[in-house]
Amino acid sequence: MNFTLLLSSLLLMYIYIRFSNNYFMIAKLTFICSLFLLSFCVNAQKKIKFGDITTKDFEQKVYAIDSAAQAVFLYDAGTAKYESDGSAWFNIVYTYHERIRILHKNAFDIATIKIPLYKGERTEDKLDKIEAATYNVENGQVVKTKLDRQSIFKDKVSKNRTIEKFTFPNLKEGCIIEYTYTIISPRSYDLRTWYFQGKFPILESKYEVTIPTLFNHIFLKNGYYALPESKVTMGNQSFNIFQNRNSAERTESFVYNATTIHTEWELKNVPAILEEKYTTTLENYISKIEFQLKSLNWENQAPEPYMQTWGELAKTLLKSNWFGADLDNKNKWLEDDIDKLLVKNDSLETAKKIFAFVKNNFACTNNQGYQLEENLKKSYQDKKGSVGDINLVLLAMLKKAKFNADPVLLSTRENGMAYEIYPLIDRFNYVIARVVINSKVYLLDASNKRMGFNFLPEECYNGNGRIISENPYIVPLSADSLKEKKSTSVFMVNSEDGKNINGSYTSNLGYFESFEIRDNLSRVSKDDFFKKIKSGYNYEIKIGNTSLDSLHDDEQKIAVKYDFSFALEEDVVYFNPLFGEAYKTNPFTAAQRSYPVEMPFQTDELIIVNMDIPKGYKVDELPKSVRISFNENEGMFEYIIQADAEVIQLRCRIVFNKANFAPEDYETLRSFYAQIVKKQAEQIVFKKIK
Amino acid sequence: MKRIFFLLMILFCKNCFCQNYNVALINDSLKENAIAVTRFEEIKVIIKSPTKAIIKNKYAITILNEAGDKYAVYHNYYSKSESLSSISGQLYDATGKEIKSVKKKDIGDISLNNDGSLMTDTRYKYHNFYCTQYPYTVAYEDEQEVDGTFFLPSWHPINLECGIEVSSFIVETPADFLLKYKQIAYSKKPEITTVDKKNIYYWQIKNVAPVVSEPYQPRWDEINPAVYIAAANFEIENIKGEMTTWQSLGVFFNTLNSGRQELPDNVKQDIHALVDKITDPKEKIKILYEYLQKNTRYISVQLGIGGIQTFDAKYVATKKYGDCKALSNYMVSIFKEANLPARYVIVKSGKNARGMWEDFPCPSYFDHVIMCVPMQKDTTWLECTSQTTSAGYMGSFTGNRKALLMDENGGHIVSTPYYKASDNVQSRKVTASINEEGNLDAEVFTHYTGIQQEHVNSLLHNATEDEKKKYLNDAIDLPTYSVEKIEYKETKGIIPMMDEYLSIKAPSYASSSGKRLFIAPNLFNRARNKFPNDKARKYDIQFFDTFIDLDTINIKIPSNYSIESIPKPITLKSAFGNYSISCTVKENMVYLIRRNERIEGRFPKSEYETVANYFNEIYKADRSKNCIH
Repeated sequence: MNFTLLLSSLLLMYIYIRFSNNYFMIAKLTFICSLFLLSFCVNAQKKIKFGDITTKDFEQKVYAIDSAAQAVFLYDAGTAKYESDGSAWFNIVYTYHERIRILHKNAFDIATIKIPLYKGERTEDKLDKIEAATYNVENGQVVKTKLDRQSIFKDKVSKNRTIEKFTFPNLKEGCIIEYTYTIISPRSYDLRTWYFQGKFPILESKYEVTIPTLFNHIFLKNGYYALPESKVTMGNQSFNIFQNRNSAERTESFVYNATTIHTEWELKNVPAILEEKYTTTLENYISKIEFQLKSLNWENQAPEPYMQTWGELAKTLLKSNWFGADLDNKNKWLEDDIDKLLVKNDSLETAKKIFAFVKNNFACTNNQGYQLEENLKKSYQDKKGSVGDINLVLLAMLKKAKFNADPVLLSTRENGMAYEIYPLIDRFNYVIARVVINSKVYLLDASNKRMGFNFLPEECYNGNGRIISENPYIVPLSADSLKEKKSTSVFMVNSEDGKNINGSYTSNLGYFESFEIRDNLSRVSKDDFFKKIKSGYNYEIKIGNTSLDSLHDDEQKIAVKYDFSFALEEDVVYFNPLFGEAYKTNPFTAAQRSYPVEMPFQTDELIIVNMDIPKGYKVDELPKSVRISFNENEGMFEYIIQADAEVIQLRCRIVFNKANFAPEDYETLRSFYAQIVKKQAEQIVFKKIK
Repeated sequence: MKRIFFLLMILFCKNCFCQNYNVALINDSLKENAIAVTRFEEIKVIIKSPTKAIIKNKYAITILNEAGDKYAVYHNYYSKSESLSSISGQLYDATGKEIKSVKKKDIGDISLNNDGSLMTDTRYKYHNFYCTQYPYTVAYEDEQEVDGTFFLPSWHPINLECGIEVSSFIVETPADFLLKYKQIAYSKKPEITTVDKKNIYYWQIKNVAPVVSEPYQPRWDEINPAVYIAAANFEIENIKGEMTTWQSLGVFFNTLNSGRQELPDNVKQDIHALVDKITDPKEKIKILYEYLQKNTRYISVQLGIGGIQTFDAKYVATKKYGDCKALSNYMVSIFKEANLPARYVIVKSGKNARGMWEDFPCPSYFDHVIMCVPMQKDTTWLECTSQTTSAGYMGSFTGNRKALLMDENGGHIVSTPYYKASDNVQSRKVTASINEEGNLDAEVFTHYTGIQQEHVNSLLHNATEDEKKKYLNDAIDLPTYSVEKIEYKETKGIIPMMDEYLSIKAPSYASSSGKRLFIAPNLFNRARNKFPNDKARKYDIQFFDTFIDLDTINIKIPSNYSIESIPKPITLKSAFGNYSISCTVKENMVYLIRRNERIEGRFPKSEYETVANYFNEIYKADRSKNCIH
């Protein structure tokens, strides 16, 4: 096609669209427009062939997309299409083709390629047609070093997974490595995800899928770098199917002439994405496309649904042996234990007893999961298992004791967000128990030894959970709904002889900090815990009467208490009144951030100090009081200090009324913390009275 | 008499394993400060012949609390040359009642491959009862069959925070088999008996109270009981060898690696083109080492004869990668082609690792290969797995220890280079100014040498920009700051040097309280830790490092402020170090000079309080502040 003609016709169309205001027309024109564009692309774009590398490809020393990049993906392409050779159901055939420029030896690690392959009981992924080569420029010529096939190793990682791996030969800084391979996968209902983004910048990323209309998918797009519109073309393909449905008796063989839909996404110049502090998981922000099979659409037949509605999904789960099938059964084998746990006329106490029984007697071997390893009875007898095993046992026991209890599925922060509209079971990785007692709702997780009744780990607060019952509605679990409150008070008085300052320290921790301390104290002795506090003071201090209130009561928050004593000697004393509670560094070091800050909860930290002015001294300097708010009422910092002739009083508080912050708030957040750090470093000056 | 004694022992052992695991029977002294107690342990090595050995492991350990759970997990390794079978085990409750036993399908099986290695055939099996009712006891048994007697197990009964009731090490050999052994912190001689044309060696410890680690203790494997064994005549995959002396063990390595130094023609041409016209051998070494560094990289592939035979030079020449053996062998081959003497050297790697024992040739300790070029006056040592290290530099990774060098006659114990205090210097000059708001501008110039330059060197070569920032964040103890400029300059050499230039802006460096500013003039070099001094010391004190730190700091303060107080000068002298710090003020300038020298050596535990006081004084002095107003 003539290029000028194309341009002028595009311009005309643009003008037409701009002024027509007719949406139907726009849609139609866009379609034509994309056809034009498509043909243009086909003409203009050079097809990238394996091994087609010239000295030109080495000319660039630095890439504009990221001048500090240690490696750049020049080309990253994949295709997926369905095939069938008459001996089985459909296979999906994937081909991958990657070309990487390695600029710095620190990136040599990416030249070690690991290809994970799935292995089922009867079927497995097959790896085929691996080709790989390293290219260097020597004496003005491109020199190619091929991968030696004997240097491809197979590592059996587990029953269901092998990894084939190899490393490129002859790497030098500036080299290009390129490889391609094919995977034939029998898992035709599970079309693989494509990542347009990664740890290194990608100049061109392309994914093409050719799907028979039989397989009706939902395309799930994700990421900060929005994907462009896909290019769609239609085609035909015929398949020889050998179908073995359900039993060995019913087999059939037929030819299926399908209409296929070819979809192509292409993204250029995608910057690298790296994880920063306070991120749930990069998976939420990385640019990618995922596929979910929705239904099987045979021609001239009603669609055969594959993806279920929430209601159907819940029903299926409740019927399956590895989830809910046994929850409502008689489960006689539970009776002995349940009988011992029943508390007369107090259902809440009974629930607590059952919860404690499961929590204390079952060991968690995998801190996620929503399924039973085999079945309920087996999990119960083993006294160990995943979160799924433990919390489903808890549910069975609660139900056996006639509680109104249901499982709640959720996805942990680390596992990423689950879709609210699509009932995709693979998105979930955790199950908890929801029980209603005297019309009050309690959420229970017995998989964690140190979580109290009606407390969930931080990891569970990741948007919404989904109750699995006849009416599978949403259970809101947002980080914004949590508040971690901590208050510390310190009192100091002069000793009677005036030589020492004696004080008492009490810190009432928030629940999650209490949880961390409990965890820590399972490994460290209480003595060592306080020793660490003592060594945190950079002056000599005596510590006594130490206690950790409620250390062994998982439902309570811990209070850290101790008495202390120190003496002042110097003529001028500089004294920081915050007792180790100050923020010493700004948690936000990166200058910029391109995705949200996700704290695990809202915070409210208060420190109150009341102190006698040391005997024989007077206050020479006092820090100034300040009060700063963050985004009006989203957060607040105050440092209020006052002194009279005998006493100094300080009140310092940091409050955040939000846990999640948009990237636009990052700079404000960072400078807010910088102000806190600065203020909290200030000192009181005492001068000896002469 | 001896025979009877032995039979009694056998009976005793049998009883041991069927013993009562009631926790109440454990002596209090073994439980105090313990997280677990080994009730019984027996490692039995049955050497059938130089080509075959069987290892039977049995143990029972009581886990007292959650922290002890790590000792409840069973695991053991296996590979092509070492099978693992007959794994069985039981779980007992506090009263010693058996609750569960190991089921085959619960035994996990994992490949040892990880990011550090491309391929190895070593795998391991593991099992865990996941018991949550403390205290409880687990007992396990397994059996290994080893091809050859090159690698034999050793006995290390002591675990951290773990008491021991009884642990024994038994070695059974044919009567004509010469077994060599070395005992550490084990004062008795082993019981040796002969029964049915078999020699039986027997070591045992009983009733050992739990140990905890202490700061600056000597090497773990020099202060706790251990026994190493070795076969004077061994075989591995049909290759015979002797390890009566280091010389003979060296002969074996020579045999194993002979014929593996043939280079392809293109590499030979490269070598000649590079060095034929050079006369200075030192220069030749440097050029050829750089050639290696530029063209190869480290990739670990541990297959073949127990992972001890090197891949041949051709393999490295075509793939341009290899592990330490392959790369060192390749380097040796290159030097031979250039007519330079070159030696393959086996060593134990890692900071402060112990060197070879001169009196006990044994292969189970070393883990790394380097090489050297001996010349008349001195020897150049080369680390072949690094693409950045200076020619001749071993540093903390392989320096200052005994290693095994191979020449035509076999093996010899040699010393790798030692680095004295004046080789390991960090000399820093800071020129800074503070304005009235307490904001700090500082130019920091630091010259690092020897072992002290290693971390900066790896920062320059191996770190991403993010990692560099993270390092600086950690190294610089300021609330908020920005590094305006970072520059590094490397000077290669036998004692490598690094120059680091930083330009730093730190808002609110000096804390201001109204009209006052507090300045901690020791900006960037503060002792990190206080020394705890409240428990009786069990072990001697050992400092492995020797170094000198010098800091010269000039800080300009706002002209309308004056100095109110300055810290007193301090000088500390001791057998393990010398320290001085002094601060002076002239007009609106604060000057600080600090010198900190560490002297290596081992000191008796009675000195501990002196050592602690010394370091705590430094901690305090490093943090003293000036006040200006």
